[in-house]
Amino acid sequence: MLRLIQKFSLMYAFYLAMYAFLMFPLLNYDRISGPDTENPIYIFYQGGFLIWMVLGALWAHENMEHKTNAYRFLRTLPLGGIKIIGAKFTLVFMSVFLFIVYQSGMIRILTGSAQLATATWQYLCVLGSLCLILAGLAYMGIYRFGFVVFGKLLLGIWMLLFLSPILLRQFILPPLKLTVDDVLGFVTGLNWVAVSLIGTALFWAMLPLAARINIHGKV
Amino acid sequence: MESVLRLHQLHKAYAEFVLDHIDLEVPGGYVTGLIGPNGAGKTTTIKLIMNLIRADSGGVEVFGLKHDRHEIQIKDRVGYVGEEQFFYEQRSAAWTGNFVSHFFSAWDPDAFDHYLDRFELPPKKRIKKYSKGMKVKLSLAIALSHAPELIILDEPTSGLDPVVRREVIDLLHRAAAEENKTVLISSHITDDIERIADYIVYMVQGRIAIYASKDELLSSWKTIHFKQDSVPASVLESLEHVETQMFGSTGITRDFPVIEGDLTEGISSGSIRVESVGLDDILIALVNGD
Amino acid sequence: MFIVISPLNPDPMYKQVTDQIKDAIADGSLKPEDRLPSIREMARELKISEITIKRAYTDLENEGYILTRSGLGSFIADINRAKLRREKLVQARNEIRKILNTGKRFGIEPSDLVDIIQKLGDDK
Repeated sequence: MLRLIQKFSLMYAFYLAMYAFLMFPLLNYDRISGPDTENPIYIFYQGGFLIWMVLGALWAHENMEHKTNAYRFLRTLPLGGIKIIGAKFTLVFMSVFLFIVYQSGMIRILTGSAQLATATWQYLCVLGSLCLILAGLAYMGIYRFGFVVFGKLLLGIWMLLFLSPILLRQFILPPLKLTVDDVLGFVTGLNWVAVSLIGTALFWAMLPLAARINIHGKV
Repeated sequence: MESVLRLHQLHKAYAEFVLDHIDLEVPGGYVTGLIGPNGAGKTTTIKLIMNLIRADSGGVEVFGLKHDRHEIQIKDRVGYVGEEQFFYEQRSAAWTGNFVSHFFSAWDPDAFDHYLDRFELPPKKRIKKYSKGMKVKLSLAIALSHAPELIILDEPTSGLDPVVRREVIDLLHRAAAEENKTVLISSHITDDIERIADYIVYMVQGRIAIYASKDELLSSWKTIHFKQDSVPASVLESLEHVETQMFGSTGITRDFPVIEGDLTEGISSGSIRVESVGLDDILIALVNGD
Repeated sequence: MFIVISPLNPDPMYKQVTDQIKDAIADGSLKPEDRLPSIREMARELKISEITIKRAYTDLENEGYILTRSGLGSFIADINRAKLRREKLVQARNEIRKILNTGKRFGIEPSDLVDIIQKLGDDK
């Protein structure tokens, strides 16, 4: 399976690297250079970015696999669906984990604030769990409906996700008389350990389901 | 005789086509040829065996193992060449060999290099730039390089030129004859199958029309040419697809040993002639018989 | 007329056609002045190429078995059966030589074969 993970890792590595070297400095410029280290909006954005980045890598990877008929090649080899899709799930999981570690770690190093780093960690763990579930659902969707159909849908969701922080802040939260602080408060109020455990468990439970659909699904 | 592959009441329905409760046992150590017109269900059957599509009902056992539960173990011991070839086409044959080597327990890199060389496949070239025939040959090279006990080929020779086709066919023949491997090969080029097959399966419209040894088949099926009114009624009854033209009539029989006695007189007087059939003659008779 | 073209026969197809037409002349099913089918018709019925039939007709004409009258078609010539007989005798001689050679390998003497021929002739 290691060989498969290695083969599949291209897009995930690319997106992670893009985030680490490009998006992270951009997103955190103010916080790193200025005094405004406590503004919650920064943390708020990181969560959206985690989901956006991982789903982006997932889509780009599946798009490439679809174009090369990779599943039809792999299915002729002594690899069960669990192995093939397990490699993909592992990459998603690793990406989420690395993102959280990187983000929290960098905040800790750059701001020197342990409190901020912990808050980031906890917040991203909750969002990461959501991301895992979305990724699992995305795979089941792709296998059930085929990449041609579901890939487009996923791309649409992905684009909406990019705008979602702005949409949320400008159009969704004000009518509800809520602020970004309220959302963050709600998320951080959750038991992040429990949410992470549930999210991770659900994610891995989706693997055999996705494999079952995939074996004879349209990819 | 032990069967390496067993299909039991295998059933798969599509909108336009039904593979209708197929039963089949492929004996180990022999070449079994699967013959049928396009759309007869050859590819569907093979894909079901390889667990690439799901059957509606019925079962497949390979090496005595259920094909879905033991998929990995089975595919490790089966060399498969599909009707279409899929690879990571931006990569080379050398890369592909290395990639798949991690998944087969008995991968032989020397054998793979040998086949690349023998099939004149440039190892460093992107597979994208390969011709259709070259992709088939690469698929064959992979199928033969992991010591398979069963080799399943779906129309493997259709994209190959006659020289390579002959070479591939000889290779398969040797695998069965000398290395005691089992070969299941589907083709509409009956010529290929006629050369190497020990057993023949005819598929017509989603059913198995005939399953017999090739020798048995070719000795019981004969073409009979006869002068009008020169054959006894008993012979006429066992003839199918009788065509009459200006210079005599022609029919085909599947019971030659039964009617042989009734023909001797006509044969010696020159009013009846018996001719061997090819596998395609039988196919045509079966298809037209429906 | 009974003509069978066989791809398994090592003789070329035009020869299979001429041989069988000669047979038909010999056994009387084709008589002098009988009209042969046109080249096109024959090719269609036997499912072989017109060039092959044309070659066969040309050969038959050169050997004097048929006559071609322009605009009317090809007809069986009024040939003497002696010529046909001579030709068949040459063929029979070759066949008998083959049988003799085979027989020699199994210790069958020419006299044994003569006996067989005698007996078969009596049966007829």
